[in-house]
Amino acid sequence: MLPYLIRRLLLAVPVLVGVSLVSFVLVYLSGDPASIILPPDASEAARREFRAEHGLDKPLWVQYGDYLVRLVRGNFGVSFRYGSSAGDLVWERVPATLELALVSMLLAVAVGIPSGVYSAYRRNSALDTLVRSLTLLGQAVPHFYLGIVLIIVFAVGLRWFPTGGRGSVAQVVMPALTLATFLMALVARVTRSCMLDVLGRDYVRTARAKGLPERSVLLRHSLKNAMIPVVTVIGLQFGLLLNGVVVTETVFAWPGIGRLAVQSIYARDLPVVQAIVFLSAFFFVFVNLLVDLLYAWLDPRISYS
Amino acid sequence: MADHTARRPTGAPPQRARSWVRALLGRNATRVGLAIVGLALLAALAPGLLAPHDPHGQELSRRLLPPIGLSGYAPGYWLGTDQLGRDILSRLVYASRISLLISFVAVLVAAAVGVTVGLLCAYWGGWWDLTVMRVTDIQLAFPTVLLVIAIVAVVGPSVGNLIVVMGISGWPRFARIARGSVLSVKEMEYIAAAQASGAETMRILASHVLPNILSPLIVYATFELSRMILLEATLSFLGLGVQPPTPTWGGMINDGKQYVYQSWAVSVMPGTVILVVILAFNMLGDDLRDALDPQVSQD
Repeated sequence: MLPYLIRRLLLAVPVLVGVSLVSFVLVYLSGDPASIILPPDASEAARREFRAEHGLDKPLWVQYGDYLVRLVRGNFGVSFRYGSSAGDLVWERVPATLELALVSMLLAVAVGIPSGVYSAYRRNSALDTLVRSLTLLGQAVPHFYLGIVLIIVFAVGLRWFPTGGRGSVAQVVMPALTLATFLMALVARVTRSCMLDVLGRDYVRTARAKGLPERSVLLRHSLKNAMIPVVTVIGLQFGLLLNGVVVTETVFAWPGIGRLAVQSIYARDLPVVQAIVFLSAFFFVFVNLLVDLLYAWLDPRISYS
Repeated sequence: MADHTARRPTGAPPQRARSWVRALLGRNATRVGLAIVGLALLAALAPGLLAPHDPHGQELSRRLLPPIGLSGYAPGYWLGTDQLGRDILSRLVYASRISLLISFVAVLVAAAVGVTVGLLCAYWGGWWDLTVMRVTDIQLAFPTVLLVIAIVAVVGPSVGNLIVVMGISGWPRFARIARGSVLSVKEMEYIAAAQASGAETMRILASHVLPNILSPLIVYATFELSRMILLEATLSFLGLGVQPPTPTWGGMINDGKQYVYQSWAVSVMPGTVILVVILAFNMLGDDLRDALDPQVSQD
């Protein structure tokens, strides 16, 4: 196990170096920070001073080297807009995004797995057809559309929930539902197809032949074995939730990193954009590793040697 | 699972080709999907035929009118009007032009880059294959939307830039699929025969390998198209798509977002169009997969 872990950690290094290169080039392409930050009528001397102060007058590869060194130390530079540490700005927003992601994840699992199991167990029933149609719909509906429809129905029309913001339980309902729908559909679909696969296996027939109660056949013998691909899907999606987070947080004015990313992009606050891109890649690599380890724990047949 | 993932070359004889076309068209769901896609294409190619009004025609006296059937509806403005009094239906029709153009060409870019790279991976193998597959790993593992947004924000949201950035976001899967298919075709006797008769590598790839791996690529391209439509809509929703006054589906939703208290139609109409078009392409992709090659796994 330990050699595998070390190998995986080493494999993550080129990924992170690649991402650092991309985010560095991104900022380089965006033009001269001196002309973005300083007022348009700043003197040439002031510009030179600004460039020297931020190391922008050095050769490009030295700048990239400096950037890497700073990244390793966890220093993401200073936000152009707020003048404070870009890393701190991002960290401040992490709890909000994590809260949204976790609630969505719970919602997706709590709804997706039971409906997938039931759908497979009563294959071709009316409910199965309904579940399958809803999963098709749920995987196609764009976050921004779903979010706005929820706002129009439940905030503007029925006035059950506020249109946005964070703080109360009522405020988390609609953004979490928006973010969860895609995942819910995906979990239901994968659970269904894995359960169908498992329910046809010999050991399930054996369990039934032994006279085990149906509940035990379904949950202990089938579901547990069907869970492995489901866990993979959930784990991979947890990282990709970030795609939906950007839009969902923007629609509901949820003060997390997705909204910060969009705001920073509008304001051309590139150190913050850089920090978000890099930290999310880091997070993603970490989650992937966790999923692989969880995989080994769930399925003893898999050995990492 | 493993036995489903083996890909079979499908050099289908003519009578089989006719039968899958018939099987495909015989299904109601496919007909609906094709009709929707056809309508969207017609709107994109000849918007003047479908749009009842000028998509840019502003008239503040008729702003935020509701769609047909609701009180206050103005005859001729079937889906209502937006915050500047422009006809929503006409704007939707003209918006399909920009949304579909960008998505189609982006898929073509992704396919061209991905298939070329993937073919070479499978054919050359070695360090090239290793390096490229590692790069696809990295890119597939990364939440691309954030990166695409950041890059578009930096290079500027012109049609050309959007196509290139979106296209590059899509190449890795094409490369994987092409590579996997080629590896299974490579050992076929007709390839050995072509090599024995002295054909060059590029010629073998282009005229013997590529035609035999097309079906999985076409199926995937259909799904990729709906992903690109969604990505384009997301970008324009965030204000990073083609800029106003050119109408885009995502941009129209963003406009409507500020007027949800006065009129739901402004944002719900374009959202519904996006959803329906994406569903249609997904359905077509599913059916194509069933019809062309039942053994291709869902990935």
